Amino acid sequence: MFIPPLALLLLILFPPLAWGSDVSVSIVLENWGKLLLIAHALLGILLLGTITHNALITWRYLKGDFRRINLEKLYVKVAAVAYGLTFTLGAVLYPNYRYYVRALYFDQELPWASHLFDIKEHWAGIGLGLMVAFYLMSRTIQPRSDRRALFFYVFLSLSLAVIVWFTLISGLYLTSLRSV
Amino acid sequence: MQREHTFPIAAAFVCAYSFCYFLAEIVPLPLWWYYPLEHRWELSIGPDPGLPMGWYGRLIFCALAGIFSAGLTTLWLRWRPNHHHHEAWALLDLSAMAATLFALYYIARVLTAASNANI
Repeated sequence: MFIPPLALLLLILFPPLAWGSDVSVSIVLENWGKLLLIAHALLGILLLGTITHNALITWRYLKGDFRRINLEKLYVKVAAVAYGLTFTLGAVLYPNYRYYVRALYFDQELPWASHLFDIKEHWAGIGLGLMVAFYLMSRTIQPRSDRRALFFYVFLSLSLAVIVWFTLISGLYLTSLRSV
Repeated sequence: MQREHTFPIAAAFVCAYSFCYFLAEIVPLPLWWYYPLEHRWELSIGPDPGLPMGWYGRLIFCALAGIFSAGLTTLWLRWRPNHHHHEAWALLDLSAMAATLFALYYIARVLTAASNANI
């Protein structure tokens, strides 16, 4: 039977209730899992791009190069929104992962994958606090004159870049093993 | 709030947030636990049997600690707006960076060797 590609995509994203899930249990938004996961990944890629560009500019602040302050602050705004949305989607997906992926598969077959996911989630959790502080500072800091705050500001930028790179790569790798 | 006050307030928030993230890892604290199969929340020091998730509760705890610390710093700055705190801010800044790096390191180090944790 021929299934048009668009219909096939819709079936994958919104499977009928009985497909691939244990009907005796119910998890929050479990039938929206794949759609939310794709949105989570796409926003994560947007976040990776903005935070990496931001880190490349803030790193130059330490060398006295302040030519791209406005662009850098724009990156912070985009990154803050992307982090918030990516994080929220991840938090919504988490119960789905906790049961269908971790409890039923990772903990039994690949315990190291459970641990890798735990590290990723905890790092993302710490990153949330850093992002809040980074956004607040970016609204007021003047990199040319606020030399006392600048080092901490650059630290936040670089730490967030490392956290986002790690969480995105580990998340994509874990999804390749088993996803919601 | 004056512009130059954002830095110590942000540093105080990060310091408390990161430190409490580490603290929640080593000390049994009362946290909110979510049970996804039962759709139920519970405030307790440790999880009940079943399928517990402690990550949400830990985030709430750290956020509250960070907000409390930032609030205290704001009050201090309003009380002594013209007092120079350069050494104190340098110490706070350093503490925030150290707490963050240590929390990241500790979690990675412990979880690479740990048995399955209820997060």
